[in-house]
This record gives sequence, C-alpha cells and structure tokens, in this order.
Amino acid sequence: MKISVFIIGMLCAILSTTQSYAGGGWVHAKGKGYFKIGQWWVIADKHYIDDGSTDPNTTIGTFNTSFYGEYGLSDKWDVNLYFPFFSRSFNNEEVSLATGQVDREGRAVNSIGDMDIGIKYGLIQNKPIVLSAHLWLGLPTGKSDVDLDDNSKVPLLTGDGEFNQRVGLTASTARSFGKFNTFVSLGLEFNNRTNGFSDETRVNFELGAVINEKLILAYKLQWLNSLNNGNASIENGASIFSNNAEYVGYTYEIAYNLTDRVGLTANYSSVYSAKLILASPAYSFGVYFNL
Amino acid sequence: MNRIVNILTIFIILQGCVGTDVIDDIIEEKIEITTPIASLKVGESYSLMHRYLNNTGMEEDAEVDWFSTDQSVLEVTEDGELTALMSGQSEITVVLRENNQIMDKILIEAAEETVVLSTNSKSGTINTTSSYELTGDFEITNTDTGVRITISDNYIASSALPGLYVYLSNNPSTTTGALEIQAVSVFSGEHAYEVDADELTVDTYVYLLYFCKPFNVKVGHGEILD
Repeated sequence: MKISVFIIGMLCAILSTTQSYAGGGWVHAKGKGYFKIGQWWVIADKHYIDDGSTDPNTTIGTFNTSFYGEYGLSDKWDVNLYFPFFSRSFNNEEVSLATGQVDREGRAVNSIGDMDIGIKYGLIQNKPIVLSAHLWLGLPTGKSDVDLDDNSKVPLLTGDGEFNQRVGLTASTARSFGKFNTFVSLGLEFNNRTNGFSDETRVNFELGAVINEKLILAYKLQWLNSLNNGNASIENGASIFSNNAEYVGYTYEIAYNLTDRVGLTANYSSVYSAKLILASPAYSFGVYFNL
Repeated sequence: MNRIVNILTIFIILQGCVGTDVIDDIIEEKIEITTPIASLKVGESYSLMHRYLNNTGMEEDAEVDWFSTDQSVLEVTEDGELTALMSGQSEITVVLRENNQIMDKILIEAAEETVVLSTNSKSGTINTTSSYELTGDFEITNTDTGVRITISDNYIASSALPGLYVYLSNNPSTTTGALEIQAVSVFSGEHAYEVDADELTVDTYVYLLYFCKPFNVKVGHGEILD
C-alpha cells in the first residue's frame, strides 16, 4: 500500500471537531471515501473570560451526535459533509445549599446542529509533500433563536446563527519507519463569518503515527485567532458559539482499525490558553467506515 | 442496518441529562436593632425594633430576648419596650432565643431628652469577586420613594460579559431574595440608580451586588456601610 494512500485512510480515522483538517493535505482517490458516526461533547462549570483567566458559571453542556463523510469525486476533488443530526444543549438546575430549594430550573434544547459542507482540491499529490486547498460552508441549521432581552435564562444554543465560509491550505508529509508510519501536517485557514461575528484565522499542526497498520496515535495543535472585527453588539458570553473566542488548543487522538474498513476512534481536546470559551475539555468517540 | 441503528441509539442515549448545581448561599445569621436610639428621656418609654436575617439573608420572624446591663437605669421588657428610670447609660442587647450567639447591642443613655439617630445616607466600595473588572465607590441615600444609589466616577466594570445586572441584597452569594435594580448599561464613570420600593431605605439591604444574570455568575459586590 502506498504510504500516502494509507495515511489518508488513517488520518480520516482521527477526525476531531476541526473537520476541515481531516485527511491533512491528501485527497481520496476517485470512488473512495470515509464515513463516521460520532459523538462529541463538552460540559463546563467555568469559562475563560476575555483576559484569559477563568470564572465559574452554571454548568452548561453541549452534545452533538453527527455524521461525517468524505468522498472522492475524482483523484483531485473530495466532497465533505459534517451533519450533527442531533444536538443537545443544557444547563443544570441550581439548588440552594441552605434551603434545598431549586433557585433556577435546569433546561435543555434539542435540535440539529450547524451543518458544514465542503470541498477539497489536491493541489500537489503523489509527492513527498502534498498540498490541498479546501472550502467549507458553515450553515446555520442549529438553534440560535435566543431572546437577548430575556436575561433570566442561560442562552442555550445548538448553532451560532451565522453563515460562514472557511478557506484554507494544508500541507502534509509522511515517512515510514518499519511498522511505524509517521505523518506531519500544517494547515492555515481563514474563516469569513457573517451576522456581526468576527472573522477568524486558524493554524493547525498535527503529528501522528500509524503503528502496524492498526493503531493510530496523533497530537494536534490548533491556534484560533479572532480578528475582532465583528459587531460589538453580539453578546460575548463564553460558549462554544461565542464571538471573538480565541484559543491555543491541543487534541490527543487514538483510533483502532477493527477490520480493513471499520474502526473506532476517540479523542480528548483541551487548551493551553483561551479567551471566551468554556474552560473544560471536550471528548469524542466514533465508529468509522472506509470505503 | 440494525448495527447502525444500535450505534445511533447508544449515542443518543449518552446525551447529557440535566444535573444539579448546589449554590453555597449560606451566610451567618444576623440580628439587628433597627431603632437607632441614642438617648431616652427619663420617665419615658420607647419600643425597640429588631430584624432577624436567616442563613440565606432573608428576613424572618424569630423569638428574641432583650437584656439591659443596668435595669435600674434602662429597663427593657421581653417585647423590647424600653423605659428610662434614672439618668445614666446601659447597654441593650437583643439575643436570638434559639441561638444566644446571635445578638446585637446598642449603648443607650437615659437623659433629659430623647434622641433617635436617623441614617439618611450610607456608602461603600464595590470590588470584584471574579476575574471580571469591577471597582468603584458608591453612596446610597434615602428618597421619598426608596433610595438613590450614586456610583462614583472611579467606577469601572467589564463590558465583556453578557447580562450584567445590579441588585440590592442581604446575601452576597445569591440573587435569590435580592431586589433587582436593572441591567448595567454604564461601564465607567459616575451614574446613579433611582430605586423605588415599599419600605425601602438605606438600612434595608446590606450589599450592592453585581451578577451576570443569564449565567448566574457573581461578578462582585460592595457592602453598604454607615
């Protein structure tokens, strides 16, 4: 098996929430693909504020059950889809320690989440260093109809309510050391956001190894930077949908091929530093299928 | 197909349930003598009043006992009825009957005339108790319909969090039982709040409290002091 073909299959197995980075700089061969059903969640009782320190909050959480797919239309073009077909956002109830009475009811909303569709084009393929370009469209299919005049409730969202376009380049290379196949990727991305949200830049770095064609381990570093050019009237509350959120984060991922086509994946994501996001790790796991 | 359905079912079952956050809102119980009389004319009587704030800062009826350190000068009944018998002074104490560690004291003089000290104005300093910036001095004064809270020009508050509200409260840890004043719309400099409510005076509440209302995050408070 050519190492590049093998690596893309392995890379797809370790998707994080950064779907645009899946597969690194490689694209699928025509008729090949990768599909995954996954669960991602974060639960947090504190958040990063705008100076990078943390403060407590009512425990809130978001769960996404999603379908993710990549498919090679040709040897150069991939089409991609991320569809969180069930998204749940909740806040805990609050009970007085002194009286045991419920001071504020817990709530939850369920809906589909924000969907992403994308294309990827292999600019340089079948070389020691490959390069691809991608475009993702973030569709506001989640629930975002929060009443900003009603401050008595935690704003529960399953989407940010804005249509965004993410364009980027990803370069990757791989090298084999016996039963160890290693890979490195570096990606740059610009996210044009609408509805008053600030635009963003993102730098992604990934280092991984495929062991004995079965086990995949990877470390990802993500640097999200807000251009702070949005509308100041957008609320700056920390959530996974905040405006002007920033972070330097990392993800540990593990995947295991149960068969040639089917495998399991899990990851753990956290941050080294952040602003205006929840201050708690995110987790995911999934089942994938290689076509 | 069945395998896919089973996987989906497992994933959806794993969606988070609404849990419980326990808010530590316990504060020290407190009893206060609310009639700040300084002296009582010999031969006259005066009804002393008190209020009891429970361990959440809520006002509550409670049985109390009254004591005078010198009953020959100032006599006090179990109902708080104070009588000046002869010139001199005595310390009057009100004690919560179910917990005699909770008490308040006032030094009163038996003299030629009755003097009641009325507090028309108090002040304090707002300080952050969070990572959000919040600082500034304030003054609270009685008005015909409630109180006026004047925030000084050294006030600064972070505008980075959504739904910052200001309250008057007797418990600095929760907005339960607090009087909501309004959403904060001024984040620096001098401004004022006119708060109208029945029986609201500068003595009604102990804290000026700032909370992020939607996320129930305490941002800071200022104690209202004489």
